[in-house]
Amino acid sequence: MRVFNMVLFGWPHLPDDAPVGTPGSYPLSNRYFDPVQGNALLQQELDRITLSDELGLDGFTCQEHHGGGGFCAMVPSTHLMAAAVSQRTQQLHVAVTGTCIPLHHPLAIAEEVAMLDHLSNGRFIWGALRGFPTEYLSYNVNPAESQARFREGFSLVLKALSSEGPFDFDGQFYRVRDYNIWPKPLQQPYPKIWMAANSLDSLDFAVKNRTYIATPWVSIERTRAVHETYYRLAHEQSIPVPEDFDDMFASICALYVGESDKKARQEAEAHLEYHFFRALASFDIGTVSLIPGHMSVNGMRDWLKNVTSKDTGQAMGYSVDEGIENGTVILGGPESVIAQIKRQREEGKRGTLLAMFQFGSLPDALATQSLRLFAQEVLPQIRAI
Amino acid sequence: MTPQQETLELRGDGAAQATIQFCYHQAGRGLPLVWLHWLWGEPGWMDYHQRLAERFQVFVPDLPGYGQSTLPEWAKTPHDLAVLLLQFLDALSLQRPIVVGSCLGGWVGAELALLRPERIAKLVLISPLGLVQDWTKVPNLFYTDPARLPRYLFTDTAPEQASLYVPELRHWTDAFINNRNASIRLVFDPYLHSRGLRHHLHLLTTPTLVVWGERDPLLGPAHAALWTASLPQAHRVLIPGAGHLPYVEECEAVLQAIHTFIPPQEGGA
Repeated sequence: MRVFNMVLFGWPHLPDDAPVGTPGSYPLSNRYFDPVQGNALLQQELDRITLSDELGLDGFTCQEHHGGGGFCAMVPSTHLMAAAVSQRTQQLHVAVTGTCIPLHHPLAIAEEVAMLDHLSNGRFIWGALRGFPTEYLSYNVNPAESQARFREGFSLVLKALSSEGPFDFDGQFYRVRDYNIWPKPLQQPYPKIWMAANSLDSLDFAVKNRTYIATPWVSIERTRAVHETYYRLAHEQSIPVPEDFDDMFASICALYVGESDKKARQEAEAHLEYHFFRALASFDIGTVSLIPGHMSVNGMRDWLKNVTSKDTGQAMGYSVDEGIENGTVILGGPESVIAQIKRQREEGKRGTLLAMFQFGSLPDALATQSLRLFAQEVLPQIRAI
Repeated sequence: MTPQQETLELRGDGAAQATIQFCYHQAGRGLPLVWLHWLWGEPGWMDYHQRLAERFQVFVPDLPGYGQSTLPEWAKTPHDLAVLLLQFLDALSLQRPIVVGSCLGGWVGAELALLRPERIAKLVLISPLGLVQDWTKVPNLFYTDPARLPRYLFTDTAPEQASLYVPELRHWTDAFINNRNASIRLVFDPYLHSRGLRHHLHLLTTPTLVVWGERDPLLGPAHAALWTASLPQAHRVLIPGAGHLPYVEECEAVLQAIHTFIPPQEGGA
């Protein structure tokens, strides 16, 4: 099992009266963002990423979010973060999971991917993301075009990275004449690519493009199903699965190691609840998901089936125990955490954990303490699984 | 009078283009009148269609992308819908129909008349989209608490059938979801308007009636003046007590305005 430190930069300082979780409340006003606190958060995380490198973790990754949506996360540019991390670390993989392709020009993405590969001496892993509908509201990009722009933009990024140029490209959204990437990436033809895929359609796209998969916040059952589906689709189309696909098969989770199960829970539970019920609610997933065009009619119908029985603003939160059960939370003393990770590997087919060591309102010192304990007590025991 | 439900298959322009399908309701005899529906589609054959069918041969198509009508990939704007609609008129040999359009349908109707002013006998625009004073002040129909949606379209005294146009969340059908998906593709950006339309309207020489609900919560009645100021041949009628779809709230007044604009001697029973 491989472990990346995934940094969300969710905002940990939401006051109790912040209007989150109510239908239509996105975006949360940035009057809740304090620049001094924000700067401290950024610097603390950068220090912990450096420490992750020293402690032998496999990688770093972060996600792109805009405008105070999605946990009020403060990474509008994953590429800037990756550039900073590439200069502070020696060994670990520098990844992004990922770049919201339709919100940027694909050629700029390709150029930055190539630069990041050089800045990191070939340690870079790129991630291709469509993003939440809120990102499209933030940039006023038509959500109805998100899928088509994603796919076309993706192929243009790959073409730019791998073509001996100059080349031309004639798309529905992007048209290019006589373009030539300079520099080419260090890893040839281009760095490994993670794609956030969950639906049949997006998995098929991933298979055809031979990308690796990073699943979003989904259950162990779901990742197993995604893993099976990927293999089935590849087999049906006689497309070879990348050799290290299983090891790269990644899932997101929040992870906390304490000295004992009891201590871990005492230290982390309230902060996990903040993550699921406060920061996540800033995203207002109920009404965000009703933005038309982003989902197919079938997808929206299924979504409505699940959501209409509940308040639309409260559709996603769950308890810490449910989180442990479904595999989005790993929490406990070292022995429990090892057992939970083994279960993730065996039952969820997960080969790489994109583990958030800081989540919700967890204080900096506790996140670092948990990371050290993890590296000492857990990491050596899960290497071989 | 029961409307006939029809499907029209149109061959796309050029050999490589896929077939385009138009579904429509039709009833009545008299001058042909084409009714173009609002942003999220017509809930069905309604009272006001029936009333119009007493005087006119009424056609109510689902605009491309709505209902069972198909939207080709290249079509992205109300102008593109007008081009497709022209094929629909040709296929039905409607040489000089009256066109009545509400909301999105009004915008499409105006684009249609701009393409072929001589092909439209008279044009009725009912609170059309297309011209917007300040789009950032117009309620966001695509992202909001769904419970608020009726308030963006109707007055607080709207009749119960208003819920047919904006159903409660638990009554959203596949058809309604599909129509919303179609709508965002057409009018998301620029939001509910076109930057060029105002500068084209002086070419729209078809006699035009602009009808507006005096209490339209989406686009206030001041927008009616934007249209009449730009159109060479336009009258304006404000409907007291009505919102964005005035024929839902004040059906008689809207029908009366249409009948006054198209007197009996101009055709129909």
